[in-house]
Amino acid sequence: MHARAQDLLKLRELPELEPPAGVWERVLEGVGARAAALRFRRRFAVAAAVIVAAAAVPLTYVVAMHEVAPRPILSLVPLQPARVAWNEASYAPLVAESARLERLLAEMPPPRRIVVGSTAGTIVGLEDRIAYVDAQLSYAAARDLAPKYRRALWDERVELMNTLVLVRFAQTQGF
Amino acid sequence: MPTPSPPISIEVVARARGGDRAAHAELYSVFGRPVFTLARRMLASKALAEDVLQETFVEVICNIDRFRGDADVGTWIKRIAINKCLMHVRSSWVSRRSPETEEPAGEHRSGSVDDQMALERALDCVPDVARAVVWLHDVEGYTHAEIGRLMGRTTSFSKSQLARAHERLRELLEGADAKSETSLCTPELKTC
Repeated sequence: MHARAQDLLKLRELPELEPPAGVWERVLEGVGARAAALRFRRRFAVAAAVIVAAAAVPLTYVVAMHEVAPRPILSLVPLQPARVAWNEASYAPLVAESARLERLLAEMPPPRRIVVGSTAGTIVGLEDRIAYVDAQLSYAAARDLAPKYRRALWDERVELMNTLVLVRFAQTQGF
Repeated sequence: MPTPSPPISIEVVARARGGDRAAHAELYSVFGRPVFTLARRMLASKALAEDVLQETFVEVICNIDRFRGDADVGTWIKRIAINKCLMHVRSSWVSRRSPETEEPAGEHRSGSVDDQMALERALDCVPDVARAVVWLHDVEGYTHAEIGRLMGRTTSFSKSQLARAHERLRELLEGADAKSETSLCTPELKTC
């Protein structure tokens, strides 16, 4: 080894560098800006929750007026078909099925770096609808609404999740 | 295992977690230099190192309540800084810029100043990813497996980048014997 190559061993001995003046002041500004953004997001979330709650009231009325007919659950192409034992008195199988689909979704590989715009748009739309159903479910739980209302919402959630899993699967295949 | 960080009392960390601004300032005063040095060496750019220093401490202050204390706070802060440096290394802008050849600043601790200047300039001329790997491995004490994970690559990738960095440093340092100190690294504009 050449004598100068011994300098490779001296990387650890290079002196520490003094940070330029004014960085700490910029850090404080950055922290203040983040705090302000967080406050804005919280206010926005509260406003959104109020809007969702307001929308949920007429929905529960509509559900009450129309008895929900049991619908078969879409089977998942790449995996085992869902088997949900329908029970008028309980929506627990739907909750379990929804959890199973969540797990499937979590286990899917991330989308490729180049995604098809229409597929991505469909996914965003489905996720928004699921989030909306979740908000309605939260409202239903908070108001302790009758199981049949919740069952209708869980039914819708499972359908949306099924579709989302299928679209995400298609996305992993490059569509 | 990463190198140990400067000591700081648990009490300061506790106060920082409670939102005490003086404790935040103390964290900055203790870890600002190591973070800036790490970023400057990994990125070979004073401006980018400043950005990393700022972004790191904004994140530290905003998230210190999530620091569980199962690791050294300095290690935690450095890990944040390293992730930010690697984001810059991955960005196309960094790969397109030419290396800076600013005069090294800071304290002189050991060895000749000329040798340190030559080493700093040579380090700046090593390709971005290889430079990040050599710093993480040789100075911060990360293993190849850890570096591979940090970079989203394999252990072998880290090993090959380290070998590449060492080879380049040797070339530059050996070449420096024959050249004047100021012409060790000639900046080139990369076009791709």
